[in-house]
Amino acid sequence: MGNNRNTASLLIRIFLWGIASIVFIFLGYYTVMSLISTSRKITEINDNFSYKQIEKTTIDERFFTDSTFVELQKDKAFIQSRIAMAETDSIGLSLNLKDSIATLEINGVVVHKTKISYLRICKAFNKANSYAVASMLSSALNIVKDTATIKKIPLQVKMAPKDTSEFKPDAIPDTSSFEPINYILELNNGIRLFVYQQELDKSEDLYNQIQFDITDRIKNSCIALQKVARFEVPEYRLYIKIRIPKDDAKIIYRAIPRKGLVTIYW
Amino acid sequence: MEENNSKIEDEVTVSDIDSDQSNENNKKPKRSGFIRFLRFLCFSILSILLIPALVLFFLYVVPGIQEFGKGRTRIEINDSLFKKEPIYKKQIALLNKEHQKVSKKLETFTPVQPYIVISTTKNRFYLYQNKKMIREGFCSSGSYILLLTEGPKKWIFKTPKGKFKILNKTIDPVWKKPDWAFVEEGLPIPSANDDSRYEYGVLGDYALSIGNDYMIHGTIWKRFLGMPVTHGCIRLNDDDLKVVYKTLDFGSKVYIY
Repeated sequence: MGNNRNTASLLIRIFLWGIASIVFIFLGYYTVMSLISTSRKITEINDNFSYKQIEKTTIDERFFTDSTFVELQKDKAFIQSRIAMAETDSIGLSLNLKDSIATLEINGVVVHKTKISYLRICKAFNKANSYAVASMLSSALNIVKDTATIKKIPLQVKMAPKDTSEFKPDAIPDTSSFEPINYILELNNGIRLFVYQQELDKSEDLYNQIQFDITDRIKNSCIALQKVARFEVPEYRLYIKIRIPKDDAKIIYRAIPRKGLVTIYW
Repeated sequence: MEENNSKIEDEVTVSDIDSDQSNENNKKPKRSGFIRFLRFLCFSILSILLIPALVLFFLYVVPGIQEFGKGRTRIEINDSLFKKEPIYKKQIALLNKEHQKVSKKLETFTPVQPYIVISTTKNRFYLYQNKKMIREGFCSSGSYILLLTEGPKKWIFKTPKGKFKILNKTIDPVWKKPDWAFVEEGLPIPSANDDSRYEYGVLGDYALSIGNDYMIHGTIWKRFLGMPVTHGCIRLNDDDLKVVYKTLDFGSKVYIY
């Protein structure tokens, strides 16, 4: 009896240690794959947007490591992308990360401006070649998907009265700003632009922001886990996170069309 | 005597050992039970902690590790010789020229002529002349009400967004009520030119048309200014409307966002 017990407990121990080992190995593997995805993305940016691929002119290669040249190129590219955006006649968002300013533009006219109070850019932007990143951001980028805590079009459905007896004049609309405003704009080159409301005075706002952020992280982790489980390298997604005043965040989100344009100066 | 003594000692020792063994046998199950309980407790705590630890690992630790590490330090050549080379100066001068050219092009998009900017989210307007804001104030824009009928007809009362032009200017405008104005109140829709369609004085003293039956006009519902209550038109108060009317001309740009 005693021997049997000992064998059983030994088997349980082996089983538990086995599971723990598998879990730890998988966690290590997942971490390595995630790190590979980052370096792969950086290589991809460098390969696709470096001057070797883009410039067919015979500019001396030394220029592309000169900060004066790169800064001027970035400036020019940003203005050119704003012109491209202006020519579409659509409402577009222009982000000047260098000066921490976000502007709404219609046909090249700045109609709304706001200060970015917090900015976080993913490391890949800094790790990749400066010229390559500037080239990547040199054109107006299309929004392909958006996720938000507020409705894009705040429609209120109302049924027409059958006759005058059913008619009720409209009540004064509730314009109090109670909705927390956080959203993600996914751009066509894979960049994800996170816009968070600056004000977190109310606990609801803070709770909502954490919930919004966690939901997105869970989605991303699930996608990455699926890839890693299939022995594939997960996709690293470039991101820019900004915080702006709540009202401005709302104005920008409601103003830009679903497939609107965004220009970024980095 | 000595033999007797040794026997007694032996007996004592044997009996002592026996009693010790019986005591240990009594304590063993208690101790092992306690250890088992401790083990179970530790295992349970670890199991419970494992789940949030894994969640934290996937949601925060790995993304954190991905961002870990020193970013690229800006590469700046300190090759003063290269900077003095004519090719460098020429290239930078060329780039500066191109930069100025595109900057000027972008500037041309902002009209020198007066224009108005309207925010439908804030329900405010901003009037510009010579690229400077000369007046701002409250306005009312579309309510975003979707009016449904029992039939297929439906209307959305929203202000269009984008760039528009002043197409027409009217003094003492008369409102020709569209179908929705009757449907909304539960009234039967009259014929196209029926007298009941015409209302005087409700649009204020002036109206500026921006196309598709959308107008900038006055209102008798001044307390609603600053709120989204209209059927798509832009309402201003009398003083603002007068200034806007006098400042904007045919073809003046209207930017609505």
